[in-house]
Amino acid sequence: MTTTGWHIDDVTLERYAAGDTTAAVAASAEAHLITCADCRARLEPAVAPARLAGIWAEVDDRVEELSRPWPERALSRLGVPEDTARLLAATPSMVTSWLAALSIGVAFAVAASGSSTRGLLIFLTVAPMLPVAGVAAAYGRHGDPSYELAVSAPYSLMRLMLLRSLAVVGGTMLLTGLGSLLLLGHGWTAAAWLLPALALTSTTLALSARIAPVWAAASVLTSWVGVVLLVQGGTGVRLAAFGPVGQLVAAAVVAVAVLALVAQRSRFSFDTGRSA
Amino acid sequence: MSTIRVAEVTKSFGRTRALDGVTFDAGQGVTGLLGPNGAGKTTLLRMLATVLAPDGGSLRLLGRNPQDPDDRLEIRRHLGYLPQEPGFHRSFTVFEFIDYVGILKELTDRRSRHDEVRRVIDVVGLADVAGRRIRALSGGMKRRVGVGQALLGDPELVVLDEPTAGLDPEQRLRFRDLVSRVGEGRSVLLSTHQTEDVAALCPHVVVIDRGRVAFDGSPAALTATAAGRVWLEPTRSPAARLAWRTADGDMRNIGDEAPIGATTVSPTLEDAYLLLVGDAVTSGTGRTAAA
Repeated sequence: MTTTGWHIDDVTLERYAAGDTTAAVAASAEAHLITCADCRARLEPAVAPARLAGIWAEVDDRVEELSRPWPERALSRLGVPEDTARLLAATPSMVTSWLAALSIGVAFAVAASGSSTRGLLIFLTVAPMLPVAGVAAAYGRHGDPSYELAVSAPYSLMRLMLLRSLAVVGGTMLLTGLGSLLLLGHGWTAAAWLLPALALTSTTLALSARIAPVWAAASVLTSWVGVVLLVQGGTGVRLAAFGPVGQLVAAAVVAVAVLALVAQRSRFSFDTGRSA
Repeated sequence: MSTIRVAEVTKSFGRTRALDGVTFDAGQGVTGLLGPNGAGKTTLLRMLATVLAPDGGSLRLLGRNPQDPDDRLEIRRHLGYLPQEPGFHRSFTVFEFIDYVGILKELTDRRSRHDEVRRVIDVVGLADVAGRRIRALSGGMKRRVGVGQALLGDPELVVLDEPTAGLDPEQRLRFRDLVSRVGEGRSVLLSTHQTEDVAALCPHVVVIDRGRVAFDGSPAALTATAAGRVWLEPTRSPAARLAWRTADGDMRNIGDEAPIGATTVSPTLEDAYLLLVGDAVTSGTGRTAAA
């Protein structure tokens, strides 16, 4: 429908089609094109197919971006690639119930800690256990509802497990770290959970090459509590397991577990669970 | 050419022997795997989907060995798999979930992956609910989401574990149409306990019973094993293993041999399957027929 007497001249139309005009000229051309079917018909063959495809792709991107769930958009803003963000986005639905338990656990441990060393011992023992539980919830037959599909897909299972674990461990450590800030009255001992947490998590991951992550986590957690109690009983010192020697041992365990994980990477290819 | 070669494959879980020397070949087109519950169908399909490794015997898929890491990766790149219980991440929509599987299938370019996701959503007829959360879908629709993800990337080998379970008759017919189209130029292996699905869809049928192959051949050959073993009488025959009154009022008897003088009728695939699997149960040998 033409409502005006004038039309865009050929030179301007060509330059507009090529994207080669000033913003003011482009704006007035667009205002006219909206109402003038004749000029739209002349414009169509003038636009290079590659440029048109590029414009559509850009529109497509904007629409896609808006339709992505917010956790994925947040991850992308942190620099996480789009496909990795989607793989990670499945994690919260697997770990929400665990996340709730975690917050209660940390709150409880912090509250119990107060000013006594007994409380601090509880906090330091519980805090490293939380990321382990999270890893077990985020991967494997028991945690991931689409695990069977993940195994049969070409994507590296180990990479998937490490991605999820990284997200879970990162999130947990942030929360626990905030908790230990409240315990700074105890000095740096309040941060002594950090290395044990890494040691327990990496051991769980290494064991996952052989057994289902849930069982790996269960055996690691049981051993951990046993070790803390044994060291305490053997030395007669409450926080003995969290002294400098304990920290060194934890660091050594991290190193060994990481090496074991790398050495066994080819095992993360079949279902490690033992069910039919 | 055989795209699936299974030779003397065994698998045990603790003391239970799930597969006890399974041998068969399958090529392009649709192969139906029939068998009672607990016969070992799912264990076998999980092996063919490279999820599980066999204890003994050999397996070749698309000319490659799934035990070899490089071969296995290559098989996985050309594989579509619908597990018996496909789990879904509850927070995902249909589109997001299939897109998620697409990423696991190494479709890294977002734009072409999204085109492919839209294509399979169209193929399984879920375009109207693509934006809906999976937890809000009916059972039949969830099955179709499962089938849809198995078709991503146009795989050469498609393994479907009980794809018709929980589908109503109309959905089942639609599904047959879909699978026979998928079977053109590809190898599709599907397990079912519906003999009708096999009779309608599969030029090749393998019956598994208690971890062994009880039959391997065409549906016509399977049906032929029941020739002369189905007959009509006014009453339940003492020679019958199974009998039921038909809509015409006659008693349809199925047994080892029709009595002399009885009116035999042409058997169906279902008759043959019942006799075959029933045989295994009574004789205790497992392997009763081979084609």
